[in-house]
Amino acid sequence: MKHLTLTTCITAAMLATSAYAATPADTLVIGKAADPQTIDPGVTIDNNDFTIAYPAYQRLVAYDVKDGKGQTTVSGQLAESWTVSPDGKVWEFKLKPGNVFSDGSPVDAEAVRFSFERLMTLAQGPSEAFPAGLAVEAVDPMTVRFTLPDPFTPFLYTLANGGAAIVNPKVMEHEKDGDLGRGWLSANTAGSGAYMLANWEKGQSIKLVPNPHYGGEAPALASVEVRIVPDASARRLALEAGDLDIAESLPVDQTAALEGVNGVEVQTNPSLLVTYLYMNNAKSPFDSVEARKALIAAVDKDAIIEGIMMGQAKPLNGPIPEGMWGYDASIPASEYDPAAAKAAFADLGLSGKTVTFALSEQDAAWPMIALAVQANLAAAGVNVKLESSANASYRDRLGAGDFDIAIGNWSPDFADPYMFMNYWFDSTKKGLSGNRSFYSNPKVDELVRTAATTTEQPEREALYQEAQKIVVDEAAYNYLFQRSSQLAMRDNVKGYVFNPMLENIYDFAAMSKTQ
Amino acid sequence: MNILVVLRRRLMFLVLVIFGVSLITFTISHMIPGDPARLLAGDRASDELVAQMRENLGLDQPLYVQYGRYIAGLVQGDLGTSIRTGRPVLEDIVAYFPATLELVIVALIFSILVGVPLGVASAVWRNGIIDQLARTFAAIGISTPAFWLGLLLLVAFYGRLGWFPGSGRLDAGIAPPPTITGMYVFDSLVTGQFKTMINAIWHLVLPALCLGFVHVGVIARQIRSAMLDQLSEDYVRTARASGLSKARVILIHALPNAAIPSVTVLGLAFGDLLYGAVLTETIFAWPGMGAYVVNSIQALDFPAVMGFTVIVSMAYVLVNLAVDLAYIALDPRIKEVG
Amino acid sequence: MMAAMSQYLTVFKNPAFGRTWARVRQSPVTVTGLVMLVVVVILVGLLPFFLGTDPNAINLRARLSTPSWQHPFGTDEVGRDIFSRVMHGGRISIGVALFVVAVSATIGTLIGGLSGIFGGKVDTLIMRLMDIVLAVPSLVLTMALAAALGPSLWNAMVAITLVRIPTYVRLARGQTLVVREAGYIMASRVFGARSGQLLGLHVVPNIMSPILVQATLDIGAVILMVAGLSFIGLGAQPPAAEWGAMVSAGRGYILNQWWYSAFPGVAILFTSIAFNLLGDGIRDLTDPRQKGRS
Repeated sequence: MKHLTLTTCITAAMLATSAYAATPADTLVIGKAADPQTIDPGVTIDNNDFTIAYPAYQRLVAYDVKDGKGQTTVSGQLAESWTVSPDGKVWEFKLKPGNVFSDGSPVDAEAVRFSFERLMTLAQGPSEAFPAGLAVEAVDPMTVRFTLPDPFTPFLYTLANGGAAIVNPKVMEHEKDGDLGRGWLSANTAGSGAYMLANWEKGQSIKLVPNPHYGGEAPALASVEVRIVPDASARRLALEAGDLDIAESLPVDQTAALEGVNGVEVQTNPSLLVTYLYMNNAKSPFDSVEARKALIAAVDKDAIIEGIMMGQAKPLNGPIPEGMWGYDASIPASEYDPAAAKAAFADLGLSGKTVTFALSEQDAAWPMIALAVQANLAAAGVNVKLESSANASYRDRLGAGDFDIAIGNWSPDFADPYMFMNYWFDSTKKGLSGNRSFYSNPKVDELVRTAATTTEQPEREALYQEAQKIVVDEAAYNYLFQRSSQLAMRDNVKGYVFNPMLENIYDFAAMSKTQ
Repeated sequence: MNILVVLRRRLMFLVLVIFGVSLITFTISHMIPGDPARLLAGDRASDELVAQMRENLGLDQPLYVQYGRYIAGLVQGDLGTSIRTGRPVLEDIVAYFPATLELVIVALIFSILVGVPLGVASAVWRNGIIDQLARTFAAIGISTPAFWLGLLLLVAFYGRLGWFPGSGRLDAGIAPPPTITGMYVFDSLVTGQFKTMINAIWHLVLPALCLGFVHVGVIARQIRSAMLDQLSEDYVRTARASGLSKARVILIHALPNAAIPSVTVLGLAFGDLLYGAVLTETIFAWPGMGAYVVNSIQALDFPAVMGFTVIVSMAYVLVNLAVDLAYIALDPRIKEVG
Repeated sequence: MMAAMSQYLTVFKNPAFGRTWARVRQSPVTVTGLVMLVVVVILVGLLPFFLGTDPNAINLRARLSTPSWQHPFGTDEVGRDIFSRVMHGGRISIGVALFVVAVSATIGTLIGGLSGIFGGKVDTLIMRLMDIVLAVPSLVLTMALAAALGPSLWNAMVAITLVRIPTYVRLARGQTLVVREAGYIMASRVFGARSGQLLGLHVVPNIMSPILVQATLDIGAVILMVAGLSFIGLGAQPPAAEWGAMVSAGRGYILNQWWYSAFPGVAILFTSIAFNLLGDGIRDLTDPRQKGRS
């Protein structure tokens, strides 16, 4: 009897603390699928890491917000104004006064110089967006000058990248074995952003608190807590229960089921994340334009969008997605025509032949799309052998061109059509770095290279649109769709702004919660 | 045989194990096609950049040089630096391992608490209805896919009923206790933070239940078999004949004797539980080694995979050594074999 | 091996077999296991030949439909019929498990038996090697092996087989040591029998029973291991229906489409229970401690 009473007491005590603890009004709780790996802005290229790293730092420029919508244009954040030399090689930035790092030291030209030198010396993934040989100098405490080896018009946009974060030079106090503070910065922040890292329980939770010296207006949220919940169903349950305010990366089926759930809101926005098929232009059978066109006609794109993406995507007809300047609405939609495809494959002598389709399970939609393509091509008389491998091995295969068909996702690092046109079609970028169809056309090479160094935007747009017409006509890729980005949150979360350039990244300073 | 001799031999064996285990893991993990520098640099990085990163990481060296360097570091207690996180591997393991250990220990305790009575009842009433039920229950436990059970528990007890928390080791807003062992229940008990302790225990219920369920069957079977051995011994009959009650004979005499050989099973169970922990951790968002090692293998983070393997093998050998030493101490008839 | 097989098969002609069968019938657990296994064999082994439905036929416009007459177990995320996938998938899951257990038990028994017969340095070497392999966390070993060989069902089988071998080596060696001390082996040695003959004629038949029991119990465990590997993407490749891969794919739908992961999950559970009950029952029946009945 005595034992029973004790048990009852403990049970009662546990129930009293209640499983459905709604989160405090001044704390925003985000459920994330995976723990960040490193939050050093000079090292990571992963948006999952930038959830923490991006708001902790500031950059020379920031993406604009207009009417509550994130834009792909930029204006000054730390920079007050800038000038470009006529040859497009020298960029000079004047800094705004009054921005302060989280330890109280001011953000000056020296800090900007230090940050870019560190970025280029570390030579990790994020440095790739900047030209090797980039020279940075502090002209005076509030003026910094960048000298580029060649004119590169998208440079301004790359300054809004996560890697372009301005880091407090004092991180060098934590340097070990000449690592430029990399070990320390992988799990600490040293920026001038509105929030800073307070605590990181590995694999479990991360806590951000306001930067006491922040130069802007004091933010509303007293803390932001990121909890790691790997299982999508568990994240959804926690959001429904009110244990989370935001649940990231829910698959389309889960967000569809959240429609109409009390207290939960799903925000759907068009994104710049595109999914497309690589057809290996460098080897038989897809070295022939006819074969590539037959494949495009054989695949039922609409069924994939409706059936697999649950309608949360729209067809992509050319390389530049809608929402990015340079998008060409006049490119016609590819037509699903299984009969024509079958006839074309038969003419090419491909009926009954087998092609390989390489994929990984990096994206849950890929295996389903692969199955759909397999069924579509079977109907057109061509057998598809699916070859799924671990993601690391899969990338090796892409780089080596060891496939007939493969699948991929792409999203731009900076807001310029360069991210699509130059990466996908320049013949020097063949392989993993971008041109994964191994497409090659000297005329297109010339067009996209000229566009990258021309300074006037209308002129660049014209060059890119001319190139687009050629590559669409030559069926370089099978563009499938551009996704909608969905984020599920409690309906009392205010101030969230989606920006297609900043998936998984939040401007916490502008966010708040009502009770 | 003298315990000290056994100890010396087994510790020498430990060195051999670490060497062998690290060699096996090194060989196999380097057979995986793929380039960790490429994964780290991102798809769009130029070949020059990737080549430079390979050089910085020492990945451009021949494999035997890389392995030699690894062993040289290991001798000095250096597990290397993780390619993925850029932090010392030891630091990462210290951060993740206690969570797994805590989960495994609690799951083990749960499976003992249920499995032992089940096994004893099964043996005492052999072939009776209780035996049949207990064996069926054990078979169900062993046969349940842990990841599936985990999902069902989560949906039922967190999603629908809301009795238990669904993820993590503590509620949002409750700070972890000061780190002593890294196991929250123990640390908060020692430092007197009872509210934190209750919360930590409460978070442990579902994952431990899920992980321990499989082992209830394993333990029940072992205890049943050992009890049958004991019950057929002469001393049991003598004790019964001398008027001792059946319950007394079973619980005071037979069970402790049956428990001794069963202890060796615990060492093996430890390894199995670690395996099961990986899947359980994913479902309950338990920040342990499971997700860490799975992600490390996928990212080809060789130092992290090696570090995990070496530490776990060492723990495995030491746990088994401790069990065997206890066994030798308890039962002088046993001589060291194999 | 032939000798061992014929020795094993003569069990059925043996009068002792009749007695064993009589005891089996008295053990409801064993009978249940046997009946469940027969059900599995009929459903998985025979039914697919009579089913008209293609387990890999996709229908994107009928995805995730609830169980109905047309689709008794519902459909999955690309509209495939889960009923026929579970039935066809069983052949893969059970086939793989049988293969893995048969191969690892055979290799393990041979190594363990020889190790036990030779004794001395060879024995020490083999056992130390096995201890090292056992000390590698089996998850890392199977995952890394499967990743190194390339994710495919065959490679997952190879990886699991390698991981299972040491268990049988230990078991076979332990049993061999017991048998070796028996008088008739001593006698054969005196009469000049060679190790191979010893292994085939005396050791294997005498250690067969515990190994068969272990193998039966293992089948369930291996089905779970294969499922676990598929769960992390290293097992069966699409579009192959494999139970573990199906539960894994269905986990994302568990809140709204319970049937997706439930049916393959129940299939794993049912089959594994069948083998476990049977193995447990056989072990109990072949257990020499028959006097313990109360």
